[in-house]
Amino acid sequence: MESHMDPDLALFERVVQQDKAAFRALYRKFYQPLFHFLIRMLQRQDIVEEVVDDVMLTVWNKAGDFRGRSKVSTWIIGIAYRKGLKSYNKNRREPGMDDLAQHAGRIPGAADQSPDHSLEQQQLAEQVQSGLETLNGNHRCVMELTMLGYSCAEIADIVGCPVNTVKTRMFHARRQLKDHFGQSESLNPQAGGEV
Amino acid sequence: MTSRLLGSSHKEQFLNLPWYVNGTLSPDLREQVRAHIEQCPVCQEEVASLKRTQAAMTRNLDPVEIDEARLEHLMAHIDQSDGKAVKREKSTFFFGTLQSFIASLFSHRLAWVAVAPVVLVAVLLSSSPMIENGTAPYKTLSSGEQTGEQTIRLNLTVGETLNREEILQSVTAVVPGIMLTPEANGRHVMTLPDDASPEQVIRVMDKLRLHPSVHDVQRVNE
Ligand SMILES: [Zn+2]
Repeated sequence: MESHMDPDLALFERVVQQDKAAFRALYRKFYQPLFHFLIRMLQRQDIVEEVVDDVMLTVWNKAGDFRGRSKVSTWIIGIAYRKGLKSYNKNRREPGMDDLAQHAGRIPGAADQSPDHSLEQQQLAEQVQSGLETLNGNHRCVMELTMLGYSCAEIADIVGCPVNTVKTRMFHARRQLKDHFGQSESLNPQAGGEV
Repeated sequence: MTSRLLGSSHKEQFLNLPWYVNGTLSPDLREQVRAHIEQCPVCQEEVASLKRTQAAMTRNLDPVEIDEARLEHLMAHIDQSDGKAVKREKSTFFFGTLQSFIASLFSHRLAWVAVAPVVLVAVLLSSSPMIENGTAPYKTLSSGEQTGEQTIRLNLTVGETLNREEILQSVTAVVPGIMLTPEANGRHVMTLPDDASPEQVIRVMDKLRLHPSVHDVQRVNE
């Protein structure tokens, strides 16, 4: 899809040829998008760094498997989705991660550096984060990817499901978030009336 | 187009709202959704709610600096894997060729008489490190192969209570002929015989690391 317009394709083709300089450039280009997606999901910087390395190592080893059906970025984020989902499901069950909701809304290494955000915004972020923690991995990923600015079709490619499934997952995720807050909460001031 | 807009259902447009808010709908669909929102208070509220959610979820996403040390570590890992892959390929090629050659012999029984001496030589050579590597038998201890003609030295940092005889006795049970030479600064150098296998070297190092008088063991390749 749109691979003829893919800005990453030239660089990626060099990676397929096992060009290490190109791989370094690709790593630099994708580090931030991968980090942002995974830190939202996994919350812990040390885990995210490990997963990003794992994703990029897979990109290096499996570059030859890329068929150009999607954009390079979609393919790479798709690898991150599968690895992130695994880690998310694993860490959700770990007792040490049960207190995540306490840290809800705090992104490691960034939250403390934003004193200009109002208390209200901070509280909203914490509410949203604690609600997100109640979602299953598939719903959570669709929600995160949407909020990070991916199109519905891109998410369908990343996750590997039809566009309509993405829409349905997003719908259920939204509904569950609202249930989490209760109908009087700030995310949903006007109750009811939806589909 | 107007009739199409009015006819589009609330449900259909409601499901598109998240991507209306994140700005990734196609221009046509965006216009359809916008027209529906104008006349639907439920969708108007959902858009406002989605915008608040998005703001809450992306508020702390600051630019991320790359950890250069991690990148170098990853590249080193890739370099290492490359080495192993090249070696595997060579080895697979040789044995693959040999296998298909032998397989062809089974389909022509009489040919055995003519080629048996050749096969014998090939099998003998295949066990030689020269063939396996395609190069002269230079080895490192970490390669998990026979150590060839290298001198194997271990640098030991030891405590004051070191009992040389006792340590030597424990490691010579693994490989006979080990020597232990004191050096300056409380260090000792342990020299292993050239023909010690990597497994033996590792077992010696494990024994040393477990020994209460030995604080550190470092392998030195020469
Ligand atoms: Zn509507």
